Amino acid sequence: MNKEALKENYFSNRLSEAEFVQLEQLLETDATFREEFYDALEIQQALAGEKHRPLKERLQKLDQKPARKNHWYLYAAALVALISIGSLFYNPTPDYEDVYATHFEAYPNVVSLTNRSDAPQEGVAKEAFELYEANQYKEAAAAFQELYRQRPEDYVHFYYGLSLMAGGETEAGIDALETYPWQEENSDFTTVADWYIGLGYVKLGNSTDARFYLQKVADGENSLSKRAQEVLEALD
Amino acid sequence: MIKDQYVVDKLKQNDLKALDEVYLTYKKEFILFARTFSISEDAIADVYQETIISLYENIQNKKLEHLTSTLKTYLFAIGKFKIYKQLNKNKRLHHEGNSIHISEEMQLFETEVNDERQRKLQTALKQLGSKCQKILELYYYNGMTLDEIRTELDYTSKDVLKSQKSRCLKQLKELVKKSYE
Repeated sequence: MNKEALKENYFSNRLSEAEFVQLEQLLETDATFREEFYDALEIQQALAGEKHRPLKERLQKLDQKPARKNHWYLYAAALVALISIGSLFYNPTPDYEDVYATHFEAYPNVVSLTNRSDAPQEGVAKEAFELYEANQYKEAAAAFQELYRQRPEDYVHFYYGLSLMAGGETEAGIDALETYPWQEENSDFTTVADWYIGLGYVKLGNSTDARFYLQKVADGENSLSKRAQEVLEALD
Repeated sequence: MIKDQYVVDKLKQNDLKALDEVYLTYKKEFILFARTFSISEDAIADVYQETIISLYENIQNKKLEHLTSTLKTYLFAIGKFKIYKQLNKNKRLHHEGNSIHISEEMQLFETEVNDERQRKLQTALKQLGSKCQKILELYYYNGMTLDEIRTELDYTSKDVLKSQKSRCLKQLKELVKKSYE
């Protein structure tokens, strides 16, 4: 095989093992060819460096944030581990604010936008989630509300309610979460919605309604049931 | 293996989410492996990212179509070559004070391009006419043969394309040389 063909086959990834050896030998012995080949490798690497940039940035971003999983219960499990519950057992009289503060933590964004095909609204959705993740709950609530008009889906409504609650508008948050038929729609967010509604009532000092929702969570078989049970005990 | 080949097939279809998965799956193990060599943490992170990108590229330009090992073995072979490159432990050919690193296992040659040289080359490449840029990109980056490029860019003959490519290379060389003056 001639030199040019060897070179072409190398760059188009068509070399056989024997040809690779042949090319290697040629590079050792033929200085002119080696120079040409060296220049070619440099060009290849310069082009690759340029092309790699966006991919590299993508991978670097992955390092900066924890991986997103699509299963909310994995997050719920992680949250359980995060939050200390010790204080509840040593507190003889329930302090509703305290119970709420101990247990309320804004639900992580578990929605992977790239999986969804409804591209035209993607900009609005992305913005809403970005606000949510930046803890700008008031703005996030408005963005999710707007998004829900265009895309009436459970997760949009869920994050709308959550944004209100996380932003301190507990009553409005409860209202929002209570008005969606989670169970009827067989939504993935049914249990977490109950959990947050329950916590919302804890904050408002309404232990009857709090108990109703938290009991539902505690009776279910999910990673939040144990925590719901703990809150119920704290309320007793 | 079957699952690994499935991942490779997904990457063939430009599935970047699959690439993210691969990146996260082997990251920890790769870092532990890389720490057994004396290179800095920053260099390890960089090598790992480049390794993942190489995998993607090899799949894209059809260097890798079917795995003959596990994906992990394949990745670690690329990574090791890149680590060895930093440590000058690869088999090398010397060329006027520079080296060409060789991996017989991966059938791969790479030069040592320092950052300054890399920038100069990239700037020069951008100064070329768009036709030249396209030809060089298809040949050196996308792994297309001259025949394929001829068809792709509608050249009347392979010889015309060949002399065009030579002119582009000559021009590039002059631009790089000028940038050092």
